[in-house]
Amino acid sequence: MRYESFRKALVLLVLLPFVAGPEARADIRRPIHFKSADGTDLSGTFYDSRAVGPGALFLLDCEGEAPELVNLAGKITAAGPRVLLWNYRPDGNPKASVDKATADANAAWQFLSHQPRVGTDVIGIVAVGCGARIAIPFAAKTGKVKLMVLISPDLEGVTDEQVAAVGDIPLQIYANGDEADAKRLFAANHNDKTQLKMYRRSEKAMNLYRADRALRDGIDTYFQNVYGAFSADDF
Amino acid sequence: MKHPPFRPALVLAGLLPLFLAAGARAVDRHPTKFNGADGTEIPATFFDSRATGPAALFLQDCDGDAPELLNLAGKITASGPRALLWNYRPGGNPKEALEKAVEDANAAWRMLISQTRVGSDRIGIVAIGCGARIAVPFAAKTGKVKLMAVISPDLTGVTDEQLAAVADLPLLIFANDGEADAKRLFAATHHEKSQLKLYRRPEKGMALYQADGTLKGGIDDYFEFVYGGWAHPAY
Repeated sequence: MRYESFRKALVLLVLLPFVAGPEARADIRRPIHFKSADGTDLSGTFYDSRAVGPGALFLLDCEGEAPELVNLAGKITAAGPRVLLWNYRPDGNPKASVDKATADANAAWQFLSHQPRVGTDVIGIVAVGCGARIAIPFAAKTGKVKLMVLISPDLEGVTDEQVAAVGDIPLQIYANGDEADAKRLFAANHNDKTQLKMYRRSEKAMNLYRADRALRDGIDTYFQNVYGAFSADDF
Repeated sequence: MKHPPFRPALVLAGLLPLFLAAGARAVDRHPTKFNGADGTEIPATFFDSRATGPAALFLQDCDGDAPELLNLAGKITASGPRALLWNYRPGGNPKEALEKAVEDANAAWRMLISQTRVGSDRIGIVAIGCGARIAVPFAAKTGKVKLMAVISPDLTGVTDEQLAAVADLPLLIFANDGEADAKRLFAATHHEKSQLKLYRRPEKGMALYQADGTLKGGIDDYFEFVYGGWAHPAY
């Protein structure tokens, strides 16, 4: 009898992390499809959450898929915000066609902001590399972006007026010490939550993300820091 | 009579987090003292750890005690390195009496490396504000510092030669955008693990530390990031 009770105790201990884990995270990841303005079918992954909170839209680099971001999206959602992770259509990234990429990003935004419990004007953006070419103009034009995380922002084609128009938005920027666009963006910003983290290494964008394991946690925490300042009434 | 076999299981499950937390931290914090160069007794707090690993020496700002650093020292030690937290004697900080501060820092260093399981050349420095006035020359002269985490470094009196001599050290620097010394230090380093985090806010030193809730975690993670790359048998 005594042996049996200890065996039950052991089984409970082994199972505890698995039972507690999903409840704590409470994120639901599912593949989704949405249509761009020209009717093209775009696909992505939506991370839902039971918590009340805002949303986060990913704008990827032009170099193709970045499977590591799946993990980051999950971490952000675990802290509250729902996340839409999607990729550009073939031949539709911001380098190949900035107009097409902008239209598709708008459609992604529409999809995200129409999800239950996601406020249309409480959305953050995570942009990597050339994703910043559409992130900044989008934020400048709509005035609806509440924070941006940018890894090695590539600002080709972005005007000084657009950079100035996002001067009030909290930005978290990661770049190596040689990236002039990152410094340009930081210099134009005056939100007291804005941060620029520079590295003495040559990697950029997703390679920089991979090189610094603390980067992922920094993004997750930044979302929590900034969004934490909003009241539940905003959502 | 049907339920008692489950009771030990529930008790064990309830206590598990407490056991795990205590085991993971394993930090033993106790007051200590050491003699400065002229025999003056200087009080300090030593954070010991059961783990094998390197050590961290604090060089504080000149503005007096910073009780928040007790928490940081505990966090650093929880991930391995033992830490020595001390403050300058009255009238003996680097602004008031540079030579005395250097001598006392040397004595603190000797005290730290004489501890069990602390390698004499495996020590990192956490320096705040004017603490950098002695941290950089010390690292340049001894060649025994293996990493530095610096908040709002004040490099008054520090020569370009001394900066060049620490160029191979991994540096983690936090500062606001107006702090030229932080940029000077970052520009002089070429270690690929060096990082500069700039803020768009006016606070400096401990005020900056207090303003950004993630700064503490950043230092803790950085110690783990850098020290984790060293071969275990060296300790």
